[in-house]
Amino acid sequence: MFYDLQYAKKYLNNSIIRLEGLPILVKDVAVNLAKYYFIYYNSLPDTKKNKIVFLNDASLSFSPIPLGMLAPFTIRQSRINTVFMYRMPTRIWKIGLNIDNYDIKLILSEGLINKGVSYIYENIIITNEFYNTVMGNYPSYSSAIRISDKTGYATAFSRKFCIYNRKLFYTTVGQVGEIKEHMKPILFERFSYLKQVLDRDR
Amino acid sequence: MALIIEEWNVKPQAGEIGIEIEMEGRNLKIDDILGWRAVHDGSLRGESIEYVLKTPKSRNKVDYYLKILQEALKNSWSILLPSNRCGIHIHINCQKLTTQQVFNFIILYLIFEDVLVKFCGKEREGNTFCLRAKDAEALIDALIIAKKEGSLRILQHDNYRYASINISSIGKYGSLEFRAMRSLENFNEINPWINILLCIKDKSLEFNQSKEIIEAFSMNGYNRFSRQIFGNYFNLIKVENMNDLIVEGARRVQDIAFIDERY
Repeated sequence: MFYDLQYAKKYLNNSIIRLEGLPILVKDVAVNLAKYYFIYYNSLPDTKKNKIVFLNDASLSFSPIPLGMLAPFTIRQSRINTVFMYRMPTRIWKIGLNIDNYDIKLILSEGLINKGVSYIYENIIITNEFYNTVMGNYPSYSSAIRISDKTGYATAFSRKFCIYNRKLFYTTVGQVGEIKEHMKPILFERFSYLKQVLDRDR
Repeated sequence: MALIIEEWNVKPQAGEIGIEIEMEGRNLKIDDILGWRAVHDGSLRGESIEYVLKTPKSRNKVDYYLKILQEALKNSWSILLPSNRCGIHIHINCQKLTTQQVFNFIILYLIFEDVLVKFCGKEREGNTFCLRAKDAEALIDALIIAKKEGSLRILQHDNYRYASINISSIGKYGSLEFRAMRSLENFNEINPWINILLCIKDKSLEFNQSKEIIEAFSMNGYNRFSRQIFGNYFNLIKVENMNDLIVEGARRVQDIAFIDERY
């Protein structure tokens, strides 16, 4: 897959790939005396321990990692936001997710953001919320409503949808409906085409 | 309604198909190939060349030029060793289409993108040089903005270039570039891929508004809708779970298709 060591470094260093389905951050690629390539990496979100895996390990995945809604997204404790994260098909020679090939959109901001979106952008990959999004760990639809009601924060229940103040938000599109009595979601008329996607996700 | 050639002021081209073939190997011929030029490509490794059609050709001439290249390489004892770094990029001329028609072409392609990239080769799925919309959703977001603005301007950037459908070539050449096909040793196999893309283009021209595409899909069901588009090529692209893949593709593009047209 990789032509030589420099090629592997160029494509993988500082990128996020997956090992046994879990996101890892590649710190460097090296080669041992037996000419086996291996990767120095950090697990996410805890980046404290350096670990090693052979580059030909079958449990490594170089496929694009799934992204989506991060809500509630807390950074520096007091700032509560809703962020939609996606990969860009950028013309760079990188395999995996890299600071140069992802982007975020701030959907809702419920607290002060002193350093703005750029701070979130640079630090998002080491957060628990990022990890949960990659893993698809979301509360159920009804749990998300309850959490949102209790905390007052937007809460995602899938990669595509989140709930805030009994309003239904979808990807970067914005508000597409409301939550009515008995937790029933009602899509606005012009977003009625989303019914099947919503039924699948809730 | 302005045509792409008028809106983007690109160099006029009569031909419809452009081809770029990335190749690694040995003793690769680099000159005197009728209709083709050989250029260096930095993403390849070892002895490598990208063969590029000098000018776009009409759809009934493509086969002739592919045969010329194949013969030229054979006669010079070139050994073709395409790796997962190599791909084949097909440009479809859109200079005489309107922006709305290009949107329809893009939307129809994206509905089938998953299935089509599978046809192009397993190593092309999730490949960093030809990411699908499901791999890199920024493309969908940008298309929503573009549709609202009635212009493809936002997509004229290298940030969108390594998608399986490269829309940034509209501003450069007035074409859509399809990057998904793996490099092949037998260039005859490129023809079906080009014809499949032309099936999509031709069908997309039958729709006025983008939402009609989604409506036609919903009304006809995946099987009939797909057969209407691809005709004899339908069996060639058929894969397991095809229905699910196409339904997901349609869901992915409906946010673009249902935006009020501003033309």
